[in-house]
Amino acid sequence: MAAHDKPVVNLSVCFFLLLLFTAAEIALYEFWRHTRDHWEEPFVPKFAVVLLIFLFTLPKAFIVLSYFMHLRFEKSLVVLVALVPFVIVAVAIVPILTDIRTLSDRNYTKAVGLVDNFKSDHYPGKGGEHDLHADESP
Amino acid sequence: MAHGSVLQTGISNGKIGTWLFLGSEVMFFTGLIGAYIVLRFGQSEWPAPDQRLNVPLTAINTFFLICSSVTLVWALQSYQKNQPAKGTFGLLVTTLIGAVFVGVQAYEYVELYSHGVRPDVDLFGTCFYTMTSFHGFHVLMGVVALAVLTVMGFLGKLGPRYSQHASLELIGLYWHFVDLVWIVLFAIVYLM
Repeated sequence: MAAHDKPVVNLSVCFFLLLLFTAAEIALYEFWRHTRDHWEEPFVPKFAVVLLIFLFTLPKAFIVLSYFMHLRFEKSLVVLVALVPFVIVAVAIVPILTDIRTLSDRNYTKAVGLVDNFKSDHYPGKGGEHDLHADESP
Repeated sequence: MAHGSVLQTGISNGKIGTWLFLGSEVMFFTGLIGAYIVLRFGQSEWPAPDQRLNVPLTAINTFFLICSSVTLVWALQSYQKNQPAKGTFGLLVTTLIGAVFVGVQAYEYVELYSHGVRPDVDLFGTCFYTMTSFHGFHVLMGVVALAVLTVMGFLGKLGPRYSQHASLELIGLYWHFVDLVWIVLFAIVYLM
């Protein structure tokens, strides 16, 4: 392919979208953290925040893969080579996830005692006894 | 072409090789992320990331890495438009931003260490340092490769007319992949 045939990516749009989704992730997490610290209960459960952050991450990955890595403009063989590992890991990770139940009866973090002992007032504005509580709703 | 860098597929060996390498990297990082997910959600208690990590600082660092991907695409496009000066400048900026990312990560490690967050203390520390340090090592290798390309650019050895030009595209693929991995790692380690 000649140099002038190379697809030209609209960098401004890609950059703006990446920035937008990253800002949305951080804003969502910070808002959830604020409600966790100052309200009786967070405005939504933690798993909902995790799900939303994951949903914001997907389009970012799509933009990088499609436009920055030019996968959208590549031949089908390259697309195949690039996407097969994602399919394999998606299948392979399912049996691994069953280990969550295996491990759930133990608690390494608690056994070490760091959760109780850790002082989180190292960073200005994050101190306080409340911070010592671990997140109990993964 | 029967031999040389292009096979009958019409795709250069370098590009196929790079994508295969990146495929193996996908497996590698998925192994780490999968282990983290199992350990993280297998625990009834897990520290909230903001209680230990400096999320705002890393958010800024994430912004830097995204910027570096943009400047690298801009550099490649400049070379393709036969504007080597702009291309080399883009490479230089990308290299510097990559170096800043590694520097900020090193600073973060020093801070965390001094505050007792170490890899040998608990699972959180082990998982955090394992994932971020492997990624940081990849970024460091990318910075070295980009620095070499920048020097080649200043020497006038980059551009569609030169055989080394293909390496710019391939290293670019690697760099964008490193960016992609960080997008996922940042969400999983710092925000979940």
